[in-house]
Amino acid sequence: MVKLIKNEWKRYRIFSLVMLLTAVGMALILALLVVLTLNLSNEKDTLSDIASYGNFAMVCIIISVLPSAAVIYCILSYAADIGRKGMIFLTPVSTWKIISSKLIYAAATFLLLYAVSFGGILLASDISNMIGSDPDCKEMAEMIRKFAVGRYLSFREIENFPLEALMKFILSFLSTMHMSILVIASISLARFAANSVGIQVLLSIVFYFIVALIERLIDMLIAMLMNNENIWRSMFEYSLGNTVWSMLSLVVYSVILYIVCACLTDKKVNLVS
Amino acid sequence: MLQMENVIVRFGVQTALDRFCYSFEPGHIYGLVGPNGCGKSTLMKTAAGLLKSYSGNVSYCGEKVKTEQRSKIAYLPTHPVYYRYMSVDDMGAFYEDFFPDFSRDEYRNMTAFFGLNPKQKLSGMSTGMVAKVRVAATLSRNAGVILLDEPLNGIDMLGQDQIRQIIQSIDLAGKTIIISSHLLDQLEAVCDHVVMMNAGRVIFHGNMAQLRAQYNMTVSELYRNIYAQYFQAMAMGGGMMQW
Repeated sequence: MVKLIKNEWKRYRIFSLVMLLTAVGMALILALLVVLTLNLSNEKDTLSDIASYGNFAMVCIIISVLPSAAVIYCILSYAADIGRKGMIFLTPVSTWKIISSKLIYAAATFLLLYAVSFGGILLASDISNMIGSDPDCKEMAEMIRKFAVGRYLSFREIENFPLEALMKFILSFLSTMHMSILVIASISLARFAANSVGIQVLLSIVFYFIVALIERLIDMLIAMLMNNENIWRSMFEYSLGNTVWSMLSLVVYSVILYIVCACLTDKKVNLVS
Repeated sequence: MLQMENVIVRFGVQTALDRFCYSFEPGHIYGLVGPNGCGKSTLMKTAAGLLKSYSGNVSYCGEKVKTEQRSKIAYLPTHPVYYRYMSVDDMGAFYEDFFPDFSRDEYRNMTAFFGLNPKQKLSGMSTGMVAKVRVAATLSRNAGVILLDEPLNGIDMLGQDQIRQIIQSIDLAGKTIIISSHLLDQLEAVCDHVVMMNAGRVIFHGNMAQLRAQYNMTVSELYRNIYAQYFQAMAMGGGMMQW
């Protein structure tokens, strides 16, 4: 496994480093924007508003887009390996191990980028707290923190920031890993179903949405069976119970998709064009 | 022994291997020849365990060819397979990491024999130089079966001679080497058996020395005669010719 991960690192070190530098760069830009906003707080309202909206847009991009690099890595890595240049599939290493190594690398990419992104946001929040003495700055610092944590979650039950941040992190991690394995599974399904590369790409996208839709439908069906009267509300408003339930379903779907993908690649998918 | 029984491989409506049956015995070097699209590469991929959607049986030493058998079967694909980050040395490191039968020293010797710079990136090399690296990596494995799919493609004449020398120096005890190529003269110099294919089937096979003695012609001449008669027979109603 270590050798497999080492091989992934060698192949994708440029991509990983570029993403890491982008994350650091964006965190620094956010910090600068915060300083700018604080300096403009006494200026014209429009400029101040633009700067503060810029902050939130930046936070949103950092926290949601950067960790998706893990999913992009999975698409690049698996699609390349299963295609003509799949050197790793010429080796006697089992498909289970190969796919696991890709998921571990994706997880490591996510963790690193998330740590940098979240660290950057907290830094921006602290700058706002330290520089500004007026209540507006305190409020902005608090909003940045809330915005970073509360994009998916708005727990009414939890008032504790570290716990809220931890829940957000776990949910983001599981969502990203689920998306990664869903992408890999969609590619392997498409690869099994068609020989032409163009059709495979199209089918991968179609399979991705079909499987994601099936998962949502199963979630709704389970909610109905459990006599949850307010299904729609439960899907969009995050309470602690719903979030834990989402986490559980993400883990279950990811494990199923991993088994499907590895079995399909191992037994059915042609590894060369 | 690498055995293939009734192997059928289809790509859509096209049948690449059509009830292919053949036993490749250890201690021999087989030359796999035939016109473009006759199924040579498909046969190689199937024997290497890379094509999964087939019917029939492919086994090595009595065991069905699966992922684990790749540790005993060395395969050189036609198309250049390497990662962009790789230098000549990195290729050796990769093979060392993943193939227990790989000898790094032998690889270093072979690449030096080909005059390749160990630090040079494969992505910056010519097709022929990359082909030499790939041949060196494959032949540095001590595998029971060595499948070389058009190993001489893009390699200059001197390089071809070097590869021929390396293949001829391999100790064949317990080993089977299968080489597909259109360069019959080169094949004739290294192979002891020839297998001629068309439309996914074996149409003719035999020991090279015996064939040369029996028909008093080179393998190239034999190839031309056999395929001329084969296509003529097919055009006239499909009966197999007698040899």
